[in-house]
Amino acid sequence: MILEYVIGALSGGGVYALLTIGLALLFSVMGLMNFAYGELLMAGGFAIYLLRDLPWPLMVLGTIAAVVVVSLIIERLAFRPLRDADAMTLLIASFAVSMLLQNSARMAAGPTALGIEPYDALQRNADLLGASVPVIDLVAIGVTSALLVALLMLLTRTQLGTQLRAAAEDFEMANLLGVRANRVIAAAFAITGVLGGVAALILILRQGTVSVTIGQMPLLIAFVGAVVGGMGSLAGAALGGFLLGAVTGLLDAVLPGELQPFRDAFVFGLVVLVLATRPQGLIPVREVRV
Amino acid sequence: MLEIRNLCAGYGSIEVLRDTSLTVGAGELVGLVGHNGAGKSTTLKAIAGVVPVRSGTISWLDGPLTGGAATRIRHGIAYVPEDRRIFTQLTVAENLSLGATVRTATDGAAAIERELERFPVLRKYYRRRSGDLSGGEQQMLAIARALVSDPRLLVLDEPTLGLAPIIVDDLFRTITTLRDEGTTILLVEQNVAKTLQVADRAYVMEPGGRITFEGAASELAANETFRADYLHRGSREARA
Repeated sequence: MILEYVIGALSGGGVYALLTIGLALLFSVMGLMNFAYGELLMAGGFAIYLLRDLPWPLMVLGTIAAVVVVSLIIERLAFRPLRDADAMTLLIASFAVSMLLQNSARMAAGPTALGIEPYDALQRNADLLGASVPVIDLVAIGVTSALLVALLMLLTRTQLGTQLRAAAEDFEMANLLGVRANRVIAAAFAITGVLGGVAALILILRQGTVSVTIGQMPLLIAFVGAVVGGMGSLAGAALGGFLLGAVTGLLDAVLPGELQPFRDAFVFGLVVLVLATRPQGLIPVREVRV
Repeated sequence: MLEIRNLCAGYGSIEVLRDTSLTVGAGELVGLVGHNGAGKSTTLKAIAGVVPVRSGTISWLDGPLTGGAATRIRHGIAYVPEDRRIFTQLTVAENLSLGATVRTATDGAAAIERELERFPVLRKYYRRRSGDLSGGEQQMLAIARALVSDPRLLVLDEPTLGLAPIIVDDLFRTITTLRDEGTTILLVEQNVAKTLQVADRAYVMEPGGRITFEGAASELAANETFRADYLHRGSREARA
């Protein structure tokens, strides 16, 4: 029983870690709190719906590619013209983009949720050390772990990663050293697209439906996770997202039926407690020694 | 090599520089001194492309210097800002590699090796997070990072600010060596006495970016009015 809870928590936590890293990356690099990020999940959901009849590898690659393209289009059309704008303008622009995408999708697909036929292999349970755990949770853990390792390698072992981390710390200085702003910001949006695409695949294939509002609750949890972890610190954001997702998954499993409607109250109560004791987040950006 | 003519620049509604003009010749070490708020740092920021030019011109190698901050280093102008602005979350190695952004991998690696020879302490802490370095080491890293780009003009803003006297002496020795190696340097410094010891020429800037003296550094160092205003007062303030 305990192993089942642990697998559920790791699975939920991993997905939210992907989302919070995406949010924190854009926030660090260009000061953008991207509330249109939820719509990347929505775009991923509709891509899954449209590509559902293709063999699964093509569906997966197609979905990720579609979300990356949407993310890059958002960057090019909405945020690049606002490159020098203040944080408040960027925030409002991200709400505008969010509304535009949601309403465009509502016009195209209608207001009701669309069902996505589950993949049989993902719906089964597997035997793991005597525990019966959903295959989709194991897949989610494997995929998110692999993606987090790949992201870590990209950020720490490549010149692009070094440029991204430098830009996240001091964008102007990175620019003065010749780091091209357009390239590094587009890379950040592409990475958030990949993270959002993978998160959409896991969340939506587990849920089996897609609607225009599908990204809203995950976005809220990811945003709170990023704040709890320490906005501006990628490691902190990942930890915050992971913990929030894990706690949410754990409460889903352990709360008795009559308390289930209050799950989010428990989660956000915990958030208030964490922020009251560590207002700078769990892993704040390390202080500079001079 | 660098020629600033009637430069006006500032922040928002505040115009810090009004009709500022100065030149830096190839191979020169030029000191720009003056009281706080005169506009020295703003002049350097305008050269670096951080502060926009409102009117006037900045010419570089016989052509107008245009484009944003990212283009300056491609023109061969490297800027070391007042507060160093090393990437404290990154290692010394990563900071230096960023200095080589505009160079090929081979040239960049050779330049990094050259700077590690110049600043051995950076080799010692090569894999260490740069935020853990001391202030003097961070300043060396900031200068080394700029030098990795192989600049034709090195623009230094207050490189010795807040450093221990022994480190200050080291840094001035390094600056002199760089000039002797042929790097053109424009230096803004609060340590006026040392600046005039190492500089070839100097400018004195008053508020509004007004240049009140232009000439040989040795001539300025011997000027009694200047000495009373800057050198003696500086030492009195230091004693106080």
